[in-house]
Amino acid sequence: MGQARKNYFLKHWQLYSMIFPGLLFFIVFKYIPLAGIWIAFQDYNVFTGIFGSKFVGWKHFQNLFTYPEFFRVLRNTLLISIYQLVYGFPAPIILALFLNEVRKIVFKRIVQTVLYLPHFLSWVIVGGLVINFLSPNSGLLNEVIRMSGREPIFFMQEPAYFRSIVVVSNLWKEVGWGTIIYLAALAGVNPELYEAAEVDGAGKLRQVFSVTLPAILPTIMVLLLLRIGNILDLGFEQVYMLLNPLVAETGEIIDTYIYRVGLLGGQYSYTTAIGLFKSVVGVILVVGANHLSKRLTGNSIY
Amino acid sequence: MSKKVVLIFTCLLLAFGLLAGCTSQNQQGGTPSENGNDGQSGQSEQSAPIDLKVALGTEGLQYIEGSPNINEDPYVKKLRELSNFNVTLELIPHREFDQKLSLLFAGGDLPDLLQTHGINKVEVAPAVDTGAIIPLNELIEQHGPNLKKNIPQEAWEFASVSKDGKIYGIPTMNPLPNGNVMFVRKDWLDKLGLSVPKTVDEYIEMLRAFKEKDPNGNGQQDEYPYSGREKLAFTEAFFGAYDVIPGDWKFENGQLVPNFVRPAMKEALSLYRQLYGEKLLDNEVFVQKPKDWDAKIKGAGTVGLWTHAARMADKWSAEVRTGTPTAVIDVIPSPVGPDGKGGHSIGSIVGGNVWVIPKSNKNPENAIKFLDWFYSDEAQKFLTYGLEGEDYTEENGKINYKYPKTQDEIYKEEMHLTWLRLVGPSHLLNEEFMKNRPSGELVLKAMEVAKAEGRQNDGLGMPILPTLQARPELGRDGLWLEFAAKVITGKESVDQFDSFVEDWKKRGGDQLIKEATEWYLANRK
Amino acid sequence: MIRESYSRKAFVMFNYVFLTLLSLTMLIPFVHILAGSFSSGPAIMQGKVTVLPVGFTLENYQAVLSNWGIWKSFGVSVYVTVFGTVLNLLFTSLMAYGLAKKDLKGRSFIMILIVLTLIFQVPIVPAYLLVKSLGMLNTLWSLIIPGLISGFNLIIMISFFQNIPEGLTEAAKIDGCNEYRTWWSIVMPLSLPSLSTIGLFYAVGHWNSYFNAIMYIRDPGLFPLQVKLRQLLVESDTESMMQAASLTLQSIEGIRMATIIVATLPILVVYPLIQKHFVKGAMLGSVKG
Repeated sequence: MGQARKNYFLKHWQLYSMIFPGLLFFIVFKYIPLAGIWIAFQDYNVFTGIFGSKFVGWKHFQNLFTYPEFFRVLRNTLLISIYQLVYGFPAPIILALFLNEVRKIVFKRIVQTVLYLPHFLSWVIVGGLVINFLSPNSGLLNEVIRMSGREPIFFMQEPAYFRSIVVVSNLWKEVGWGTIIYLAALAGVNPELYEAAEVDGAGKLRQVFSVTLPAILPTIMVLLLLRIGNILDLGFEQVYMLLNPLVAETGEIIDTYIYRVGLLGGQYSYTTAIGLFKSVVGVILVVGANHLSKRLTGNSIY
Repeated sequence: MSKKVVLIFTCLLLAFGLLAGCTSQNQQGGTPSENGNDGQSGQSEQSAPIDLKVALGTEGLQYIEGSPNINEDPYVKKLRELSNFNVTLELIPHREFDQKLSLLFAGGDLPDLLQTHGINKVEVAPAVDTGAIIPLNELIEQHGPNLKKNIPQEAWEFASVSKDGKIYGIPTMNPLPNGNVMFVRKDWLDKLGLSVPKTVDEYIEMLRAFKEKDPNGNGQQDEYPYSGREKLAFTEAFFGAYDVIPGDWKFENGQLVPNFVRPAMKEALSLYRQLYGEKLLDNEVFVQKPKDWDAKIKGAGTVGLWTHAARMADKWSAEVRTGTPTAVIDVIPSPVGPDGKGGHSIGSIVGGNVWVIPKSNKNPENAIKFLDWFYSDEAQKFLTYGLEGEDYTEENGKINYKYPKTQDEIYKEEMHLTWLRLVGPSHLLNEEFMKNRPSGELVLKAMEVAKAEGRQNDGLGMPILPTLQARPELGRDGLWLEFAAKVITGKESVDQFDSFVEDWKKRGGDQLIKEATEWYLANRK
Repeated sequence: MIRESYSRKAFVMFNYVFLTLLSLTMLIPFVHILAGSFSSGPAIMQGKVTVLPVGFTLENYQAVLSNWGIWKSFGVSVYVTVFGTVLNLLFTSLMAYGLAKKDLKGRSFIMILIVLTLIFQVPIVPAYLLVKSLGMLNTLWSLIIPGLISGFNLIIMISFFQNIPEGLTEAAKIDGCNEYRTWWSIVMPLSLPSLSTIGLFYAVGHWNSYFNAIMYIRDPGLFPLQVKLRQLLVESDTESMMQAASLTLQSIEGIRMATIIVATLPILVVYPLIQKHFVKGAMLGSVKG
């Protein structure tokens, strides 16, 4: 067995040599510092360091789980994340498909560039725009509402609207940028497949389902799986900018809680523990999803 | 194909070389040679300048951020000349100051003199315990006579400066512990024929007039009588009237209790509810970002009353006038409550910056002597007025100071006036200087008003309690703010206050009170 | 047939209208910021600026660009972005090629390792200490090496490589190419769309990087653009009362807007330039027989 193994490695030595530098990189720059996650089990401070700080076991996790609003925070994070998955994940794909149908190159180029502009604006700016847009006094949306004879709604202060605001504004900001990768994938689809489908009598819409989507399915699945791995990682900046005490009920997420903790300063251990919790959940989900994906679509990350 | 390869590799090589060049460019200022042997007094003789590495924050100031090399700056050079210290400044970015400080401690590359925001801050406190920064009592006795003389005992004993009787930091002073005052549009008062209000009820009358009588004269009811910012920042005037400033504590009945669970808070919340309901308080206050609040006050000029720092009165005056040239700003006393008093939270006389000396400094006495120099007349004159010839001229002992007019001059003044003044009395206390500044009189008036009012905080200097660390929502910006927001906007009745307090106590508030009381009895009696 | 072309025409119309409207919503905030950057302080404050400058002035750009430090940091950013992206692409595509082969022994294990790095966050202090111990502190290397390969980009690139028909690589091997040659001469040229995309991701990442520089760099001369720009903006009233914030005659808003334009314009133009590499049918004619 050993000899066969060795032979295999020798035979493919070039491939392994191509992988090796990168692997080294990951080990040095990711896995070595990741050992620092150990501080989640300590009462860490920078002066006593990792080796000198006191070991406290599950204390921080206990603290997290006994936080009375823990479920609220977890629930909000999950809900927003799932909404974003359901609405925000397909959107760039659909948009990319639309863009792909554009024949006039100049128009296509211009639109592509414009669509990804908001991605470059920070949430400090976009958050401000959203708040202004929804303002009961001067906001555009309420102007329209007023014109139709109804009372202005204070959107930003109603918990019921908050998640939608987060999801929609995130969609607006990122959908253009998200199309880039799908457009690249679409560019790689063999045109002969389309010709063949047309010969078979498939209309444009049919072609999308029978040629395009299957062709970019690997890309879609990979991105989806990666997304699932980070399910509890919402954009902190976005929610933080939009959050206010009146919508805490639906808006407080894990990351804003971490921020609250971190504001008190020096809480490396507690914040790391919370981060660790998020990661563990992510791992469980990715493993599950990867398995499913392998079964259902034949695609997987590993 | 191979040409491409050659091209890429040449580029890489070139890049390599450039990078190598860049990395060796990080020497700034002088070479660190030790020669601090002045013997006994060392002040009288002009001995060779002593090297000193000082690390401090940029405070976000334009002049410093924009300087190509702060150590080549004429003011810094003059500082070296006058103080006889070969100072090398190392800048710490403003926004990530605390984090960078942490990393500095972790990495161990510490200067001779380090700026912090207080030794009781969580990033610095362990440095005290592990001896990473040294106690200074002896050193101050021997080498810091001016420091000792000019900094009051109260400041030395403050929590951000010393611990268990040992002094760990040299503090800057805050000339105005009660920093916030009420700014009002005097032109609106005059136009509507109103007198300056004193009590809460008189304030309400004034605010109603602002709302209804169209003081900005545009025919629309678009005025915001009183406006504030999210998290109720700079919106606490009426809490002050009832002596329940939300972030502060009060010692009563043998316990140190946060203001926001005291009974009077219920009344205050009722009042705020009323103000909000009548739209006397800007209804967007809970989502208002600083930028938008600014725009309403300065740009649109639609705000009649707001709260902010007394020392910025001149800034307000000038900036509101850019938006509304006819505006006149005045400072008025805060609304007084049932006990006839009012005002905002009185902070510490210790300023925001506290200088510490790391253990790695082999000659700490030099750092002390350096700071000590800042209290000399020579230093004061330089820091306040700048460079002779350029910034001011002197005739027969009278100084003719060129008050800055352009943006660049303003930034430059700020640099030597406030930033370079590492320690020492603030220019705000220099009446002569202040009087002649544009709107300087207003600042002086604002300071007078601020000094005459204010609410005491019995929890001043208290470290962050363990229960609060574990349960940050027990603080001002957590459960209370959520409750207050709901009450003020009318989503919940103020009668729920008692059950709010109950709930808060059950969730750890009781424990918090216990810890706070322990601290108080041990430290503040 | 006729029905088909009507519905096709309708679709095309709809598509154009839809895309135009959508683009407008994306464009307007940007135009507003652009207009504001050329507007005078009072005009912005008074809310007069919508999509055209009011009180046209160059003073905001003057404030931002007359700063020597900005130019130096611009150079630093360009350098790090270009050099960094080249290195990124080199190492990422190399590793991706090796991992593209689905039945390579040990591949699964390595992929898991990589995916895990995407889910677990490296805490700040250990990262800092590592960079310090490698002697990269306060050098530009600290901005390039720790991010040399992004797990996310790597996995995407692997996926793209896997889409390349095996027939092509087989043909190359039959012709006597070893793996390296195949990678360089066959796969890379065919992967222009994905290389452009991943290259763009890396480039934008470098260009926008801020936090790393704050952590690892002390010498102001080595700060990248984003750091310099963000620090040039005075906090409009922080809640902590530090030393007096200075009087500003111009509007901070105007400068802020000019800052945004200066910060994003250079990187915005990159994508249009590389768009031409997204040519459909790049592989047309290569797999015949």
